[in-house]
Amino acid sequence: MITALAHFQARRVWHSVFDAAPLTQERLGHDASPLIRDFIASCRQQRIALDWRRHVHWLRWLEQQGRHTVSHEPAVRKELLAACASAWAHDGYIDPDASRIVIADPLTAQALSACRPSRFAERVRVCHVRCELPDSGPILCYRTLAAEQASPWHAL
Amino acid sequence: MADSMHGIGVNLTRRSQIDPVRQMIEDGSADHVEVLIDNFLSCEPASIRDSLGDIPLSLHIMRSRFLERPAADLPALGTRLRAFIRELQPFAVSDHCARFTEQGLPLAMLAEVDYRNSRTLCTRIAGWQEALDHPLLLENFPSLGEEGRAQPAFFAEAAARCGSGLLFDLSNALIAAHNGGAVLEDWYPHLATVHHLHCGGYSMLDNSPLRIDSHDRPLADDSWQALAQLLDAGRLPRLGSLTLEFDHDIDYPAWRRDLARARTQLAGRGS
Repeated sequence: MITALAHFQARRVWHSVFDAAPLTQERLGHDASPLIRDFIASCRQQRIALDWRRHVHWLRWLEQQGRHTVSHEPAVRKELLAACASAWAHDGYIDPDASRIVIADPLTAQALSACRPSRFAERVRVCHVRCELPDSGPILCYRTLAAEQASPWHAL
Repeated sequence: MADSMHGIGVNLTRRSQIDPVRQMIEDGSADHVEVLIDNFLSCEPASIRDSLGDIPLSLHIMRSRFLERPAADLPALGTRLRAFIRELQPFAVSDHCARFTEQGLPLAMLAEVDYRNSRTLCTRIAGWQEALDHPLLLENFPSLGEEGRAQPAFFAEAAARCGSGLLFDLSNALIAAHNGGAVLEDWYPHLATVHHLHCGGYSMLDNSPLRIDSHDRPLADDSWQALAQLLDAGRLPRLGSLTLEFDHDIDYPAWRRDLARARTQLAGRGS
């Protein structure tokens, strides 16, 4: 049963990562499935939660594995950061008073924003934004906005 | 149906389902909609009515994690949900008695609580119900093993201590029975007071004999048989709603067929 549950968990994580990141999956090709298993094991070992930040954890892990061709490609980074921002916007239990998140990527000097919908039928929108990037070195950062008040930048 | 105000309905978990569900309301396939409110917490509550009209609604909560959160967080969370309850006047509000994390990390699959801690669990249920300021229904768990055998007794204890009700998920009960948990007959004493029923498709856990609650396909034959058996035996005398759940790989024509079949099955059965 433990093997079956582990297999099931790997499938769930695979979908939770790649359903929102098809370009990344395409770039990794046949390596994607075994990599996901190693990624899960690494997260468990380091006690990293696969929550709304899972796409950023995945990006960082790819970097640690030396997969720089993939992890440094601007389109891949944009896709993974957009997925992360979107996951935040969909989860109303995190920072419930905040309506928007901005994620900044010092490597590509780009920032993405996602807004939580205020209407039932409205979809989460993720877009590029212009903003002053934090002086965080190579660290990915995010800040949230509630009633136009921006939080400090936090490391992702 | 005895309390037949709400009939047969569907669950709505994502925005992409809104238009197809509206069509199911308009063509008479669905009499009510159960909204998974977790995914719409940032919405103005009235915007839900703007989209779905005045059809009866119930609110289902999945990720409140009211058993695991710091107790101090529950009043604020309850305040947010009460705004939806006040605006939408749902005929039922339900949540799950389950574990979402282990040692602080999210589980890929919900785990069953340890019913031996019933006193602590009941304190939390009572606190959550108070925060919601609404009667709370708890859904039975699709047990993976024999630890689930204590589930019906726990639900009886929770009802007695906290006044919480049972949202009886028939397919979960069948999954649990198959996996070594409580058998359907163990639930019979509860069913006389059950108003709201869930049923969804299930699948097998990969390379194992276990069933899991996957909501990715139409209802299984044994779910239909069990529903007929319960109705024929008059074991659901207060049934007020039946929600057929479909969350993943949604096959809308198949869902409609299931809704029509359920309607036929319930019609004239005197329950």
